[in-house]
Amino acid sequence: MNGNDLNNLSDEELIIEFQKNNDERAFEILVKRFKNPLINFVYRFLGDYDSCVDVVQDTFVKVYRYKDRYTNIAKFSTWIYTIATNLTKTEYQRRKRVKLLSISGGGEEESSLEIKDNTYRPDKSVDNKYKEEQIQKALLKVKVVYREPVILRDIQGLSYEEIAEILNIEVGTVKSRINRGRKRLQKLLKNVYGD
Amino acid sequence: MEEKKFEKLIKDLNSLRKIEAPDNFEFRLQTKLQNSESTDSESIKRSNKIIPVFALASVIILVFIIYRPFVDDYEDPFQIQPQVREDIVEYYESDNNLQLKDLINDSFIENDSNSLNNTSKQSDNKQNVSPDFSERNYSAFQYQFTISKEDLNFTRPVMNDEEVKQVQLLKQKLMSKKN
Repeated sequence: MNGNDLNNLSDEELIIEFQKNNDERAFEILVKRFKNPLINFVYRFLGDYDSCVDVVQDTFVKVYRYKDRYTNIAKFSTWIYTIATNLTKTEYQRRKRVKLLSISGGGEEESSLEIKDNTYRPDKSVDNKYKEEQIQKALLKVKVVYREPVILRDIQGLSYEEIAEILNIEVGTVKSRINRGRKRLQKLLKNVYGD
Repeated sequence: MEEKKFEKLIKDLNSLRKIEAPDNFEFRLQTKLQNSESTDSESIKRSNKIIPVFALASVIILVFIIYRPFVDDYEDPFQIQPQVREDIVEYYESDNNLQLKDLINDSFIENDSNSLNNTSKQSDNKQNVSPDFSERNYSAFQYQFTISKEDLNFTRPVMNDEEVKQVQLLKQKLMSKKN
């Protein structure tokens, strides 16, 4: 199979090609397709670029090493997002522990309800960069259980069913968590959106 | 309905700047993959050395536990005779006891009435028993040494006739006073 043919294959066909024929080109195409969405997802979750690159690389290392564990029942994107989510949570816990050791009273993300920003002035028009920073800060203050589905749904654009599969929870739970996460975000960003 | 409530927020989340991977992402990934492969092969090599050593050590320990080659006085716990309950039966290796043993054995040969007569004599000697009786003898021995309820009452005072009479008199006095 030549390179062009491989490019036309779906994600699921590529991973099967990699499983059966150990064709590393198939793996490389999968890396190209998923590196940016995963980087975006992990960055929004952790808020640290270097850690997020490491987590995504570890995700691909796991895909490479455990390629045979993928079964055609699930979508490849769901499988790789599940791996990335688990690694992200592990990294998040590790960072939290380090933070707790280095700074006493690092605290849980929802310890403060409002993001204090002295530079903000209501009379000044809210530019995109400022808003983005505020949203990112607010995201990091939302509890992990709500943050995950909100990022997957509203930033990554995945369906409720896909999120349910990735997080291994019911679709109803996904919806309620997303709703609670959004409410929380709205509250945290009230200086951006108003009450 | 709920989505409309958060319309602006959802729109902003959706339009957040897309974060991209660094240019050297693939190169770093390749390095990581190679490193993980080499560490894997190293750990396999190490485990290949450790497994036979560990297996040999376990076999030696097992052999040692099962056969105990350097222990001479080893007794198989399943072959040990059960312990004699000293609180029930006392066993003295004395001449008197040997005589008693002969006496008991002789009594087994005799008829039941004779053996019953012997019971009182035996009970005076407080159940001195040899544990190596045959099964037949032992059952006969059990029959001979049946302990009555009276025998077990060790607190019972031993009184002579006069004392008994005195006690009776006192009892009568007490009863008459009560009436």
